Amino acid sequence: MNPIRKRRLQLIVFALAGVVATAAVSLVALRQNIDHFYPPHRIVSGDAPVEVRIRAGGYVEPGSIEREAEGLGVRFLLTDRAGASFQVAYDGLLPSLFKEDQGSIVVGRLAEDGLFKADQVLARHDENYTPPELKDLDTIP
Amino acid sequence: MRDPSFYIWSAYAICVLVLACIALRPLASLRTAKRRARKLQNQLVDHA
Amino acid sequence: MVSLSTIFHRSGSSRFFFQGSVAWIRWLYVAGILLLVVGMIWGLFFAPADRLQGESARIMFVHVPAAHLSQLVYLAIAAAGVVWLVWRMKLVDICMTALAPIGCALTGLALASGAIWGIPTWGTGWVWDARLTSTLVLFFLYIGLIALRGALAGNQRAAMAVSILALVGAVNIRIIKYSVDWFATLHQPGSITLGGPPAMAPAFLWPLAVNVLGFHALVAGAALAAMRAELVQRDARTDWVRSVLNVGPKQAP
Repeated sequence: MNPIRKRRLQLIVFALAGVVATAAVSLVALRQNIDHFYPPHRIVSGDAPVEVRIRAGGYVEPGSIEREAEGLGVRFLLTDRAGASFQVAYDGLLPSLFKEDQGSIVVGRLAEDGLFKADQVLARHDENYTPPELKDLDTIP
Repeated sequence: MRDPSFYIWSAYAICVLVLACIALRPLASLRTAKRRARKLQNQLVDHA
Repeated sequence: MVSLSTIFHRSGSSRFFFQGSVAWIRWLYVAGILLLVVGMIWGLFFAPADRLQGESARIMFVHVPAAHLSQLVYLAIAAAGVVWLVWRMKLVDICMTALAPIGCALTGLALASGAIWGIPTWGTGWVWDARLTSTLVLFFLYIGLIALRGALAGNQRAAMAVSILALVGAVNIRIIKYSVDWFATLHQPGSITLGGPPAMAPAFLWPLAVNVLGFHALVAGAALAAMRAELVQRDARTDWVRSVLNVGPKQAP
């Protein structure tokens, strides 16, 4: 490689290293805001702002879904499967993938008493793809 | 949302359409480029 | 025996590339179309439904290869950008020009098929989570590359600008890849990872593999074909194009 080309290559490497460093720093700075949702432990610990429109997410606690006698109202618990959980109240149609033990994202406001009033519920799918015949298995062999 | 098959078909149809564009566009532009080059070369020959 | 450096220099020659690529393009198109026909029919009619997503899981067979290729094509452009900045090879510049619209179309396809999957599965076609947003940024980067190429007069200046933008934007590919691990995203983490068993039953894995291979072949073929078109367009006045196209008086032997 001749000297001119070598210098060009060095310049590129330096410029790239600079860009990567800048991006890394800004990502770390943004990290607080770029997360799509607050996990249950941050809702429980009081990290999440009250009465501000936020997103929160977790797994639907099995057996916690209570439907109101009239209308579409529903209440359920979202858990991180590690002890922390919070209750969500929602009035509307649930996505078809919304099921017990599945991930869910809720958009809405956290009330002072810790109840999350959702105006939108999204189902979160995990990375597992399993045919229906294997539904009894927890993991793919 | 009641009938998911519509969504599946639309996804595949869009995919085939986009892939057809990706595959056919270069062939079409090669034809155009060749035709223009031929015209240009003929002009150059005429001027010489 | 042809030495490596001869191959390197010859492949840099426009005429050698123009004539040598014909057979490659033909086979890549044939292989790509065959694989995609098999893969799509397999994915649509023979692969099982997912136990939770149901039939919508079939969208994955076109979404995953489109998203994968959209990132791979960008990495190829960025690598070509490094080579152009150091060696100023014309064919490499042509390669960047040819790849940008292909990558743009693939990114659009990934976003569209993802939205179609998201509507029945998540309950929404679009959210501003890190994975989706960084993919949208990729789409804009491609548009930027195409616009820069069109806006700057003179191949050298345009190639310089495109190379630099491609290199800087390559950071975004890392962000797309790791967004699902670094941040709490609505998008699920990758099902297939290096150094771990895939989180996908073999019944899904096989048709997906066929489609991914088909996408690779078709995109590679289309890229070579687009390079040929760009090459003839740029070199329209040169002697090699004249002799390849068989126009005008033949040169004396």
